[in-house]
Amino acid sequence: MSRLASILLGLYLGITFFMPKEPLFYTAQKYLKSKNIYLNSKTESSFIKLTLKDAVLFVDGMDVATLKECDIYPFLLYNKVEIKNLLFSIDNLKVKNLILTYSIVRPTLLDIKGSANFGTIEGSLDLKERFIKVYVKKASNRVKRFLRKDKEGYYYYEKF
Amino acid sequence: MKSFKTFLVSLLIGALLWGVVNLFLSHTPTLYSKVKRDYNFYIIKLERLFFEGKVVKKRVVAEKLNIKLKAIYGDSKSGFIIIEDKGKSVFVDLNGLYKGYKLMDIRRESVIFEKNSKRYIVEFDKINSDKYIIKEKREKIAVKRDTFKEYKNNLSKVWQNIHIQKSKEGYKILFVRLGSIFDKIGLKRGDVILRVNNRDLLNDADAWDIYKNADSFREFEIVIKRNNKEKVLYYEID
Repeated sequence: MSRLASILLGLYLGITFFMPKEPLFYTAQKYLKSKNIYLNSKTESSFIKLTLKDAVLFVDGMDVATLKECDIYPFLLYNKVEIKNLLFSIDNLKVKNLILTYSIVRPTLLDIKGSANFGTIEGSLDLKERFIKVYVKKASNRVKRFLRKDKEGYYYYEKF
Repeated sequence: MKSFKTFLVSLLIGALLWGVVNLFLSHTPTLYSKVKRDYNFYIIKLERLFFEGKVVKKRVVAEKLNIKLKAIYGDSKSGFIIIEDKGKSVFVDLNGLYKGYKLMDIRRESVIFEKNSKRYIVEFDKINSDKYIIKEKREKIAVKRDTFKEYKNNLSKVWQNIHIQKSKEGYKILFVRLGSIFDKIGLKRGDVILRVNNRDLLNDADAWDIYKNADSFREFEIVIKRNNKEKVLYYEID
């Protein structure tokens, strides 16, 4: 039993720590290019995370957002993306921090949490049902017209 | 100890697996290189590239002719003038004749006649000269820079006041709110915006780039298509 645990632990740590994070990111960039989406950024990688700095997101040639820093922790069983200072090009919408987490405990859900200058964000992305639902607490008036409302408050909903 | 060895071997296998996968991954970033566009207009004198030394402008030596010039329309390529003859207005086309004098050139404030290989100049009366120039000028509309900034920082406000849709030639205006800045600058429903500051609006990226740089422009030249005719709207930013 302890031998099996050693094998599994060794494999897990080996796969996690020695993951070629930068080449994986470059491959993702190449894939996104086919969708006319580009994420220009500086990259730094370590055993536990990949950091993107001063990134600019281009969609169809339009620079729609910039982000100061983004830490990606690909631990496979539990993955986390921490985004700091995400600034959208329209209406000065700024997300101070955004945390996306994915764990195999709930394999079809991606949790979203964050705080922005238009409210506090909390919701999830359902990979199985293919929709995103994010509640914006204390939503400012300028974003309310993009949101729907139910008992719990204003929320953003989109099917994909 | 044996478990530790097993652990290390598994760790290495994990690393090796990635080593194999790594062979098939991309090792260079894919970046979007945005073409920086300059929207200012430049007049480039190509003669400076091809001629050495100073370019001396051709001077026309002409005698003054005592004819009263009332108005000028056009330039050195085409046009006509109006002169006063015994209280009546006489129209003379470029290269046309008036009492044996051939109208050779139309300038901003004077015209050149020629007779028997001798040139004559006719000028406006200095005091009133500007009043008589009827050469077509582009009408400038002044727009406050703060207004531009306000709209740039609030895209929602733009959409509240104007709706546009991509068409074959440019962007078609579907709606303009009465009294809005877009109404004031002369845009109308049904207009198709073809070019802004000499840049064709071929896709969303072109329109987006103009929107993002709007507050840095000193002037705007918008070419629109209205009733199947092209029209130029010209704005100066205060």
